[in-house]
Amino acid sequence: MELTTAISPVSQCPPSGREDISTVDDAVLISRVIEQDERAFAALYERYAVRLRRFVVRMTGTMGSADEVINDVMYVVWNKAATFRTGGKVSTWIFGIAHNKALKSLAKELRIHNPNIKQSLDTVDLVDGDNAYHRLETEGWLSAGMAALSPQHRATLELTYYHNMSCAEVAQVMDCNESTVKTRMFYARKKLRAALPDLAGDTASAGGSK
Amino acid sequence: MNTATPLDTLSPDTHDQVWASLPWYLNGTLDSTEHELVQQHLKVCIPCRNEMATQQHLQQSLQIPATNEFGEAVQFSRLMNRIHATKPDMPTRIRPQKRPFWAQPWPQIAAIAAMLVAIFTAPINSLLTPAETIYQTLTASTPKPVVQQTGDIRVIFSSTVDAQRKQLLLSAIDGQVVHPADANGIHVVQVNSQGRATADEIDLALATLRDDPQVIFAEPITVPGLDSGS
Repeated sequence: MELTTAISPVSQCPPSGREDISTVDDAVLISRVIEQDERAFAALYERYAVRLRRFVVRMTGTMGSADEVINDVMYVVWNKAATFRTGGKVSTWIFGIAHNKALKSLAKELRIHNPNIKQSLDTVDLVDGDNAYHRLETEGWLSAGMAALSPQHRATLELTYYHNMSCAEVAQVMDCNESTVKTRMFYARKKLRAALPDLAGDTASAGGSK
Repeated sequence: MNTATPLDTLSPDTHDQVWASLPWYLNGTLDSTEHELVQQHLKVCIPCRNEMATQQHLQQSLQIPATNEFGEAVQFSRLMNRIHATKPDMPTRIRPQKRPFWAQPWPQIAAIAAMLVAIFTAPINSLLTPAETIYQTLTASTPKPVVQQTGDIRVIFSSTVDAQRKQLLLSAIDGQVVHPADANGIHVVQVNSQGRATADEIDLALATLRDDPQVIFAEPITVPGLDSGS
């Protein structure tokens, strides 16, 4: 989504000189956010809000709480910018916060609908009639096949295929090791293949040496 | 750099490794060695080629935007309002240092001075004025009941409070939970874990707790006692 300058978050903050802030590196913006520079924060928000929203919606399967989650994520970015480790990637740090907040939001929603739920989100099987989850399903899903995956599996696919993150970066965002990411990806692919036989067209049946 | 021989390229281990790496081969984030290995393997492995086609299809499907437009500027305004309205996260609550006598506020100094005058002049007054006999009738009021503080406080934290914040608050009042939350969410917190808390310490702890948005309720636990003058 392209925002016009007139309504963008950056335009809501007073300009600082002639600098084109949209070209400033993420890490530089973070260093300015530490100094409470609202314009730098607005630029960061503008750069990440849409991507984060997509990620959160994809992961949680609902648009209902996405704005709240993004608000929480960026609130953390503002307050905890000083904890960002120099040398790391800003995107993985921010997506890591988003992943964490999305999981919490999802857990909260699941508890509201099913107070007795005891499974961790990583193991919740959302395929076999978990009514609590199906209530969370809203419009906007890419396909029914994605609904067959757990939030962690969807996050793995989304970070890899949409946000083009390496396996190591996905591991960093999801706070796990690379082999866990590969395992999640393996099961995501397997479940998708079962849920979406048309996904691979004619090649589906031939693709299964695994 | 291609270190794999044709035999390596066909081995089951290589097949498994390549199969697992295909998503990152597709998004172009594999390092050059792995990239080369996948490329070589794909030349000779039909199942992996089919799987790659499947994953490519999935990757393309996932590029479709999943979200509707949303009021980014409005959301940003909301966020900035929140930031401006709230204090920095996790404020550090530090128990105020005791000031030396000369640095106390004037009302306190005046109160202490009045107390000292009363103590020193009381014996003189008793010599100057004859002792009064106190008569009490059966209908006279019973000794005035007073309450004594036990040094414990009942606290209800907000449902959103996390363990770290709770611990910060407790350490700020030098308190410890002596009874965890009951069915109503009421914790019993002992102030001054080293010994019985003074009234001042309890007042300070109450003020600290009540000042925190994560605390819904904080009241001292009292027990009925008798007026010490009776």
